[in-house]
Amino acid sequence: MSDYRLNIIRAVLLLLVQVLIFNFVKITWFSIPFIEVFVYPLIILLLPLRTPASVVILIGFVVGLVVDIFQNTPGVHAGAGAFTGLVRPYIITLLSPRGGYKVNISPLISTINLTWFLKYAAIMVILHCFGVSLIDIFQLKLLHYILLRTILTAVISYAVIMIIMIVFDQN
Amino acid sequence: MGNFIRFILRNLHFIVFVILEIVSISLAVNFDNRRKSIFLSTSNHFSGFVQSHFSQVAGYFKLSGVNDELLHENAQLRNQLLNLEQQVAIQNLKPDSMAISTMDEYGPQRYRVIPAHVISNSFSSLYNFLTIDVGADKGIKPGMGVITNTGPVGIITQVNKYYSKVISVYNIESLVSAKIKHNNALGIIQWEPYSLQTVVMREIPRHVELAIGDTVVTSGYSFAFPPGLPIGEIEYFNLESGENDYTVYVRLFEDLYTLRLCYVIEDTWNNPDTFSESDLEELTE
Repeated sequence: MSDYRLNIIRAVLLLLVQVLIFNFVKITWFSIPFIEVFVYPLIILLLPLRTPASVVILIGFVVGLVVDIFQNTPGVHAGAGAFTGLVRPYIITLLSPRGGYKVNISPLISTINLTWFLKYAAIMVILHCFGVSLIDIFQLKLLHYILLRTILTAVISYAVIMIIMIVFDQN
Repeated sequence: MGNFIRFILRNLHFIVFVILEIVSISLAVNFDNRRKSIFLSTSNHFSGFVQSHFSQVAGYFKLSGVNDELLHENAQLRNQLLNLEQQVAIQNLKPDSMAISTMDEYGPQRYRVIPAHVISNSFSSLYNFLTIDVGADKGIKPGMGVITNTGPVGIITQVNKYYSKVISVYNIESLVSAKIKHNNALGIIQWEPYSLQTVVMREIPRHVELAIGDTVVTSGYSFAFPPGLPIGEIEYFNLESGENDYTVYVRLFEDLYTLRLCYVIEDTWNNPDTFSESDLEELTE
């Protein structure tokens, strides 16, 4: 029960931070937001390991949709969130440590370890930023542009997400 | 059925993902003009590709209609071409002709071209005829020439209301006045029985220089065929001892055996109405 409550509180807080603070951090290029900071992927990242795959996808979609509503970009973050939710189980299996995971934990620094979380967050944030850029720019002709935007946005988002995790996940 | 439900349940997350992606991309497309235009242009590109390939296939079913259209257009163009050639010829003549000015008004409309389909065709007898599907209702009269792009077909002999009978080039009674293109040597083309694609050109005197491969064209000295219409090229020729004329074998450019579309040429100068006695008197004055 407290697991649910913790996840909901975390989601609301992260969404508030994203919507009220980081949505205003934006460098645009040719009227397309080019460098942005995303902290809401953390909601998807930190869901308990045993969450059913379709529920993770649905949560990713809803979280993205909330961000979209506040950013006035319907569909962009929702699609990327659903994509992140889809790839999350595969990444977790890919990175599974020797001996496997403990039963139904949230993948945090304190519950697993820092190195694992660094890798996990890096892959997930890059994939999420790629999804956002792809749907936002929407032209495979501009693939180099999509990739550039993915890298720049992912680096900044990754830094912010790691700072948040290190500050709030010590105990 | 059970297997199917199990399959759905096992891949539920993937189905949810696909549905949500469709929803989010449709949102992304519908609420953003830039993405909308990209989407529309891309989908237009794709659908255009599919449709153009489909219409390539579907086009085969419309070919006969298209053929008819092209036939009419060809007829019109041929009409213009013949008349322009005529005009050019008249203009070239002008410097040393006094009476040309009156001919000018006949020049532009000398030839009229009527498209026709071949209905029947024969090659097996000595007297071969064709039947074409235009008749008196289209203004066809006996004596008009029938041609294709690549040569003469024959001359109209009988006409009823909707059909005409054409004496084929492959008829021993058919004679076509022809000349060698490069030196204007005049001769007469006649069919040698049962030889297809080859006709014989006679009455070319022995002093004329001939070469294999020379082009033979119509002379224009009859009302049936306009001048300069290609007939064929010289396949071989011989000059028998004691003869005064060459016997030239001409390979036809056109293949009458597969003929389907042709054009009837009406030479309006052939019509006595356009060239009355009084005109003649005026010209000779």
